[in-house]
Amino acid sequence: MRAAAAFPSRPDQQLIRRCCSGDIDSFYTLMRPYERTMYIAALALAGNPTDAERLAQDAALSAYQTLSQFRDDESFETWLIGVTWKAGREAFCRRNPVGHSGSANDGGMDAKRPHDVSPWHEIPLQALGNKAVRDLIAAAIEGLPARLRVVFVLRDVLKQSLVDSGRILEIEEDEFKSRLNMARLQMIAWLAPLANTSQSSSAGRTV
Amino acid sequence: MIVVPIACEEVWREISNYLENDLDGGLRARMEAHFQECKRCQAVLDGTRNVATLVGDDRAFDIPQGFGKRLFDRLQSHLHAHDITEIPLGITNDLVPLGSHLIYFWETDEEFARGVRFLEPGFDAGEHGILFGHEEALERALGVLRTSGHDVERLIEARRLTVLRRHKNADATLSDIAAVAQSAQRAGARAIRFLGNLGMGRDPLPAGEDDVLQLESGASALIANLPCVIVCMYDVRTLPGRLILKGGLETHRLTVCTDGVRENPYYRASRGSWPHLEHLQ
Repeated sequence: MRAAAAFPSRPDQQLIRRCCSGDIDSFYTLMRPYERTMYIAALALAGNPTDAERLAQDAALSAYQTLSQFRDDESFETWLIGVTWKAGREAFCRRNPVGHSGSANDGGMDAKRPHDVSPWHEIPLQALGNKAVRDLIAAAIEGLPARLRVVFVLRDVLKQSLVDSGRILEIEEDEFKSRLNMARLQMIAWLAPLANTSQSSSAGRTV
Repeated sequence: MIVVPIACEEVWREISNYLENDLDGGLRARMEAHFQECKRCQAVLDGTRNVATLVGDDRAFDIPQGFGKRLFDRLQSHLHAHDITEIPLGITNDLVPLGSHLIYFWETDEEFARGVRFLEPGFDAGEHGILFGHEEALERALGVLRTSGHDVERLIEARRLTVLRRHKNADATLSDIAAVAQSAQRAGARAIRFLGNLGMGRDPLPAGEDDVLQLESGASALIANLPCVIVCMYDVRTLPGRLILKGGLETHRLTVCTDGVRENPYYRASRGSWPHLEHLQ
């Protein structure tokens, strides 16, 4: 569990105080570093870029309206992700009406039994400079069942802690871990061809 | 030490917990021994770790071009969609500019009910009403609203009306008012109507006459930066003449008369934070 701590000198706190007293320009300044986070969180929920952008906008408005509820002892980024989840939760649950323990949309047994990806040749970070690689990663995440996609994005993309992620999604820690494991196994199956190509690339071919 | 073998299926089930360092020592040691022997599971481990590193990198996702600008354009358009400069007073047929602080003297039941009408035009116009005063005045004003057909509880629940009780001194009261007004503004209220009641005989002033003067001066300063109109209802039957003169007439630029809103010739522009307190020393 993360220890509660106050960060009175962080710029976020000063900006938040100004926003709460009605300074809209400060809200723009406050939000700018978190645009990427909000878009990615919204994309995890919405599943496509068009709906994600609309959801991120709704979430930003909701954040402005509820800013006074933000507590000094939590990360502002985590709070924003929670606001985004709340803004999109109703539509998300309507589209994905599977209960917490259900696995019907998780890919069945294949989700728990990984494809044979051996040997795995590491995909270097430099490969992210290639748009085709980024597109493949985006498609792989988009292809995850929605219930797995949200946990994967919170933990592996947005680097939220297990505790915060479970709290935001309102699911038990064991359930969260189980979904995360399935999501990761599906992701390596999707990206295994890239790992193979990566080896070829190092031998002279392009990705 | 003898390490009990572990099946691939169990390794796959625990691979995330292994990476999260969320396993007891025994199970971790069994998995490590397994990875030495099983190339397939070692590849799953390598792949999972590699993918987590890749997707966690800032470069992994393309944010749509212009996303930030569209985000803030939407915010801007919502927050300023309902910009207005004046609102109907409700008590008379006048329109009054936002930022106005008006005095309304009342004596009879009919005059009291007429003053409460100030809140009514806002309920269906996306505005927020704040009803402020001591217990006796609040009960009576809420009764007037109910008689006029308003579901007061629903208005409060829908955050279109806030009832603020006058318990504290001026500074604390002004903080309460500011918090409610700013919260209503952030929630999208296009204007805020504040109806204050002062003195009705039964409840004493909570902090004395000077505190009322301080409250009136502070209220004018408070609404200078908010889309707010304040109407202060003064009960001429029970309030002392000094309070009517210093608090009622000298701190309100506009007066609500029976035939309309008038400039108040007794109004004295503020000369500092709390000019009336200095004046009264």
